[in-house]
Amino acid sequence: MKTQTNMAAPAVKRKKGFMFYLKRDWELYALVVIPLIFIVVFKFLPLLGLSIAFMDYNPILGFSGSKFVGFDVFRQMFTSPDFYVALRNTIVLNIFDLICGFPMPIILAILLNEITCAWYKKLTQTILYLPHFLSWVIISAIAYQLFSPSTGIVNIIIGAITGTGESALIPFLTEKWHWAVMYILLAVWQSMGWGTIIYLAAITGINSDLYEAADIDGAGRFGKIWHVTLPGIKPTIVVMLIMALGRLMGSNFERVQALSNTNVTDFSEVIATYVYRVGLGANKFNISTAVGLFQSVVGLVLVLLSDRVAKALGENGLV
Amino acid sequence: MKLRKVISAVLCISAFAALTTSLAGCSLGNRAPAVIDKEAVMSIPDPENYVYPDQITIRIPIYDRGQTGQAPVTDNYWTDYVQKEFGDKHNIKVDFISIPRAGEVTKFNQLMAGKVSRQPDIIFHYDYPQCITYAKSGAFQTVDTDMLKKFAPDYYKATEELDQYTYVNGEKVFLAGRRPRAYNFVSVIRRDWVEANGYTVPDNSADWIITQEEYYDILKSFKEKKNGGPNTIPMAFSLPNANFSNHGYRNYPISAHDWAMFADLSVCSFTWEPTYEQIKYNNNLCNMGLVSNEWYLDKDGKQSKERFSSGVQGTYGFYLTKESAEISALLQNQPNAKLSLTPSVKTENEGSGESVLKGGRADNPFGLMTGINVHCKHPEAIMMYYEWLQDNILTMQNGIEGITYNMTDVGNGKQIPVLVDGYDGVERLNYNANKDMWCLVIEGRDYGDPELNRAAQVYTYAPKGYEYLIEQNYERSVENDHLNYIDFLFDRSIDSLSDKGSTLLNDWQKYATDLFNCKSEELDKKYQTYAKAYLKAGYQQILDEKEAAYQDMKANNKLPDPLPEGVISDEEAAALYGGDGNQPNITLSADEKAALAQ
Repeated sequence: MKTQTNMAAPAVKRKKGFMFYLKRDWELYALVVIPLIFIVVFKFLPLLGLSIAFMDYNPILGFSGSKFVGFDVFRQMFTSPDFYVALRNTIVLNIFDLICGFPMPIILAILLNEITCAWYKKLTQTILYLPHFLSWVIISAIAYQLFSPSTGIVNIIIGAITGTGESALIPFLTEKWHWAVMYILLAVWQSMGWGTIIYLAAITGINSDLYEAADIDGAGRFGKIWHVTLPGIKPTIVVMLIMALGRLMGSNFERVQALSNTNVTDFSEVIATYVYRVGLGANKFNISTAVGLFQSVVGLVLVLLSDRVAKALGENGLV
Repeated sequence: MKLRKVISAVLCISAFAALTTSLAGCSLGNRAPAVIDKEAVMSIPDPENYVYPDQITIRIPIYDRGQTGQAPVTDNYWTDYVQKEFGDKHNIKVDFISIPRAGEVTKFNQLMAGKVSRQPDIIFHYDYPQCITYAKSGAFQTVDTDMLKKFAPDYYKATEELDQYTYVNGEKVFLAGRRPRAYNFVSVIRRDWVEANGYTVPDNSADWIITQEEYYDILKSFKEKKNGGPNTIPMAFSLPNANFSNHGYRNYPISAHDWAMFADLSVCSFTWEPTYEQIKYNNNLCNMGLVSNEWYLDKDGKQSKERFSSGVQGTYGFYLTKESAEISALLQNQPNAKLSLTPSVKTENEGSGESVLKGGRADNPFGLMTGINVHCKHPEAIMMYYEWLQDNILTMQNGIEGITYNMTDVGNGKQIPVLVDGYDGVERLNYNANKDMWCLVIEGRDYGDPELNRAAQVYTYAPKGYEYLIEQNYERSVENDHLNYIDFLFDRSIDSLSDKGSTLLNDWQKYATDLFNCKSEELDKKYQTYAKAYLKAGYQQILDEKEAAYQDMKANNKLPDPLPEGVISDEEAAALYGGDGNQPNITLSADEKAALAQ
């Protein structure tokens, strides 16, 4: 394919310039301009706001009135111990999120794919999708009801099983280590069903001849999963992984804010809540902008890096 | 070829950058402060009937509390009324801008960062330090007293005694709203439980004064006798915020220095001795199981409210309103529930061995503090609006006689307006009797007569059958008035306070959770560690800044004169307590301070 364009393109290009194509296909160019404007207005123009990170920003004086301070704000940010706690928590929680949360949809998709009874499969899928549509505020309210140490049903049941008759008083959400585990598990529960959609679609795209061939070769269920299904969805997995790695520095504000309490702030303060607290809580717009910028830059670097790694391993990558 | 591409790309990017910066620049308008021609303004004849030759617009922010079932705050019968009665008369267009009650500072900042022509003409806040922060960041123009006297004579007269609070660094920048006394915040206890457990409650709970031990005993008996069922929780308790009352452990009277340094509701004075004592007290409550196990999950007091309403909790503090849902729900669950005010609890003055009543924080003498936007071109129109509100307060607070209110006899041939319950026509007042419209000039109802004001409170706030709560609360407030004093007000901004406040609040809530819950023998050690961390996280900076500001105010005779009752000069305090009264418990060593300064 590469050689083809190389041969044809230069010959045409030399004769006809950009204006030729513009004249010929102006309708198409006009159509492209619309999303382009959208992107410029809503994605690029706001980037000007990043200048806040380099100013002693005072909203009343505005951009023009506020003093330019160079990298002072970043210096402030990197000397604040709170920032490092937030950074540590963000990365650690996200890594565990990735380890626990990433494989689950794949496993689940494969399991769903193996179900042959159509109505049962549909029912299961629907039930699995449902938690995705619950907001974190609702999930956390339910979780706090269920897992409360003294009045939560889970503790009462555990107490009954272990024979004490009283609540087991396990601080599922009120002690930081327990909380961290629950934080991860609740997210797995919430998102695994929805995550299967893309893998199920990829599995559908696998040529059924391959399964037949595997049958003939004497592969069992696991053999087929291992040698056909998984390799078939490998490109999808890689793309999803790259995107997940890009989110390693991000954090879901709603999820942390809803689930945290003052007994677990040591672990629950992440960059998103830090930015909110410092930026909107203390009106230090410049620090929160700087933290946001830092977060995005690291995210970008991570995506580019994982993309390189994927390409080096012979996969397609993103860019 | 390649070079040409690079050049065109660079050109494209720079053109784009130039375009966007100019866009951002011009869209915000001229940001120079408005220039007021004082002579021209002062030559306006007869402000009360003045008609602007060309229509002008004033933009008035108004709180939106997100109450369901209410008309939009910026467009309703009463905003139309303002336009008709005030605006049309002077050829002024009155635009209202809604400000979400939660997140108001963010919203004001957003508005102020935006286009000048869309900014509100006034900016307000209830919190004095925040107002000073606005002033310091250059949001306000100076208020000209002559102009105010000319355009708002009645308002000026009504708020003259608040004049002293309206200056920042010697310049008058605020228009103050008055704050008549309110008595509708009540702390109640289950009287039926107390009596069932063999304790006596005087008929008038204003006379109910007991020591801390006695109060403990009552609360303990709730738990032992399980008055509210197996899950009885004796006492209301939820996550504290920065305003952590420690009045019970302050020396009375307090020295002016301590008052300035530590009486502050915008940051918890975590390292101060009285705060430590209060923490110890709360730790005791938690360890004795007198409060809910999960009190720290109750960030907004909602769980406490639910427990009280369902009849499992012994005490509760809340703003009484005519429709108090707490009381109606409680009566539904436990028809025999009886309420009384919680007792006044005596505490010991340090080392004296004798328990005395300490009082608490007095409300500021002012309500809402407003500044006029530095870009506002017609400050006189704003003053005219204040004057109009001042003169039409009866209508704005009560609506139209015979429709939304009736004049009602309250004895001695005196009458006050009483709102018609549940009136639902077009003239219906907005949420809380139009409060968010008239709060610019006054915080409540004031008829210039204590008797009438008291009656107004009862008629306005008490549910049927619970008038006594307000009456007794009023009585107690009058009796204890001399014990309460307001927080110290600095005449300048304490920058570190606005810088570090939210971080310290976050830390304080984390520490409080651990300190109240931990075993009592661990308390001291943990407190030491946390207090040092708290100082390092910014509290030391606040203390240093406050100390410098206080010393400067003291040296320049800018302290309130006379000091409020309950506060004595540092010299008197030294003579009385030998030293400086309540000392900070934990301080940083010289080395630690030096390390912090780096």
